[in-house]
Amino acid sequence: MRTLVRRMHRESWTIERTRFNLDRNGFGAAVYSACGPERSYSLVAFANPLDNDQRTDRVIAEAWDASFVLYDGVPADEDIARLASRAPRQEAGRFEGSELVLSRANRSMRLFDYVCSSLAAGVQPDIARLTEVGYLMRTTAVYGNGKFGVGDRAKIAGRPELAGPFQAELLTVYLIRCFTLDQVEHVAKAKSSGRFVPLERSRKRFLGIGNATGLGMAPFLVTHPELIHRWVHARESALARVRQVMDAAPEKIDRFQALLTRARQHLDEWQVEDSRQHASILETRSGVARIREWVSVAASPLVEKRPWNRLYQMAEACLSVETQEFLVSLLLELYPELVDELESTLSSEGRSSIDASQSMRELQSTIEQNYRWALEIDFDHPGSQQHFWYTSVNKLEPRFGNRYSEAGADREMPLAIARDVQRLYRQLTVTDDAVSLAQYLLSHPEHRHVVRRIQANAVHTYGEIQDNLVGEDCLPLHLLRYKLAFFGASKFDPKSALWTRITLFQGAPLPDELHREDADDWCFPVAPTAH
Amino acid sequence: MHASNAEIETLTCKAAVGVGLPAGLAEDAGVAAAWLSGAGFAGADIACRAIENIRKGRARPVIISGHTASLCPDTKGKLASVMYAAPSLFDFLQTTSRVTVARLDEPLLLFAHLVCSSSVRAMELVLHSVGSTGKVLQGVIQRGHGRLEGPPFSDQEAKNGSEVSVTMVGGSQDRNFKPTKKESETRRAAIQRGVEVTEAIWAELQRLAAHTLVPESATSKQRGAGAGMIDND
Repeated sequence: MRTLVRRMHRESWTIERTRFNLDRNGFGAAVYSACGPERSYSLVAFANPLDNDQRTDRVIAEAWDASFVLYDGVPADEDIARLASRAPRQEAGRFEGSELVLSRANRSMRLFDYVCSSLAAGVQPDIARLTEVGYLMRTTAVYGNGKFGVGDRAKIAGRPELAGPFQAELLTVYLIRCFTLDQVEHVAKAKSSGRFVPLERSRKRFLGIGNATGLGMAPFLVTHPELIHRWVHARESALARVRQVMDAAPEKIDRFQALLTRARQHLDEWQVEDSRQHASILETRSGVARIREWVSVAASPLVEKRPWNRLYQMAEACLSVETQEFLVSLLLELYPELVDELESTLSSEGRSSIDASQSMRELQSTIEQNYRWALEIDFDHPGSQQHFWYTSVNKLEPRFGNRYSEAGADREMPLAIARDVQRLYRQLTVTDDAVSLAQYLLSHPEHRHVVRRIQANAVHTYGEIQDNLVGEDCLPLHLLRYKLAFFGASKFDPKSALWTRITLFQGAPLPDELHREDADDWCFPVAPTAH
Repeated sequence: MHASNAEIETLTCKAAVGVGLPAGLAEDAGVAAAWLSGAGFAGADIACRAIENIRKGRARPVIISGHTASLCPDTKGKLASVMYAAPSLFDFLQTTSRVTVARLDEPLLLFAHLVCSSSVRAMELVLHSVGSTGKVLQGVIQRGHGRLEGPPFSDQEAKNGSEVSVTMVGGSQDRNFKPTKKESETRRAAIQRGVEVTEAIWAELQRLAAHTLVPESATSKQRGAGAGMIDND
């Protein structure tokens, strides 16, 4: 998200609402065109009535409050007419290469009508209510990369503005936010009896877009090890650069203190029902308070040499993992001049192939070196294979099942990497060294996917999720959060071990604020002051 | 109908898994099918035929035939499945300069596989295929590019298989190999607009891919995704 907004700021993008044909209930079509220096992209939005018993965040939904397409360029009337019959059908529709992203969203029933009626009555919505939810609509899927016929990734990978991973998808979400803000004002105005007031700017900026995320993200992480490696490598590189800074300049310390204050408020406003996450937030609040104490005394680590490294080491020694990660995010904010350029290293278009010249002994040794964690799992213990990942026949919804009580394990997705590596390793130990890898894979093609992975991850050292993804202790939620964190998502709000909600673009500049000097300063969004 | 290259790759992969192909081989098949489609060939049709060959038992996995660089079907009288043969053939080419396959069912898919793999390993290869009617298909493959000489084989050759050899070109004879203007335009059009696939082939691939899906149950629907059925909050 930050990468996208920085680019829009740097390149003076404009966002124009070119069509807004909504009725008094907010139903109809709208088009928003985002114009960069070389190209334009348009969000085509369709809002339709939805019965309450149809409103679900699940993939199995058949209808939504709104559906969206990111069109490559500016759509003609006939394009909009074509999309009007297809976009609301989502997965059941077919799309063209001129469309880049397909998405849909549902209204927050807690907030949309409340904001609408407030504005219609001439009053601003209560900030506490806005804080509680943080968005007017929640996306439930954002599809790109050729899904359902939309343009392939290869089509946009060479364009600087969309070369970074998921930039087209995030541009779509940003424009959806614009739509929701306009839509709620439009409905409020239509329903008011002359008392309508527009949503006050700081409140508007505080509203992002929600997202409901399920299991679909987890297989993506497993099947894109090089990409994941690049993301983590960039993050580690960024942290290393900051930790190597020799002295903290006074303005950096001031900035850190200011961010700490903002971060503490952000944590205070981050409310969740999930008990595990709630406990974690409490722990992080207390951890951030300790960091504040550390840097507020005369013997602050910030007056030492390599101050940020010292602070990080202190956090590593005594604070929770979540607090450590929180601190890392703060540290990276301090030195955009050191870290922002790493955003250009996040993409991967490559694909790996098997190095069949590797000897069986070398392969075995690679496993011992990089997959010790997998070899140590006792797969004879039933709990170690308690679960299986699968795709349901019902709208291809990804699901997580119990191997011992549910049918379908014979069709599981190949995500049990630890188990598969261990199986391969056991076979290798009883295979004649004289057999070449090519000969071995000819006889045992069932190991091909895992051999490719092992070899690729010998180079992509952060590419593997080092956990048993079918074990009884596996919490898929962690995988979802891991990926969403790289998007810049905030207000992680788990709804179960398999499902979470998040907020995107909360606090991000509005379209007419993209030119502002502080357009990039919206990390740890906080509620505005009431006025 | 129109499909994206990613869809061709993904659906081919799932359809291949649906008939029992191991995941690693299915992934390779998907990539090769998408490359063929993007090059203007009927990639989905060819991949579908190769998958059906496996499902119907017409084509079989390959084994080494006496000599380490010769592959043949593991069952007499059957065809060698390209989905098994292509990845193995490329594996062997990394340690030997010439590999042959007897009675290969779909040489074009092998060609595509070699093109895709050669980009990763930077290899230069020549494919020579003789069909059952004596027709010759020759292809040059160099660092992710490929060019065929001779018309694509007919169904007859596909039915009876082809004798194929692939040779690594030591010192390159054609280091400046570049796609022709027409090849580039075809590829660019596929990237810009996707490719055309017949609805019948698409439906068949989907039918085969459906074997990877788990049937619905009440438990699965209610608990499998970890979310409720209604979200009016």
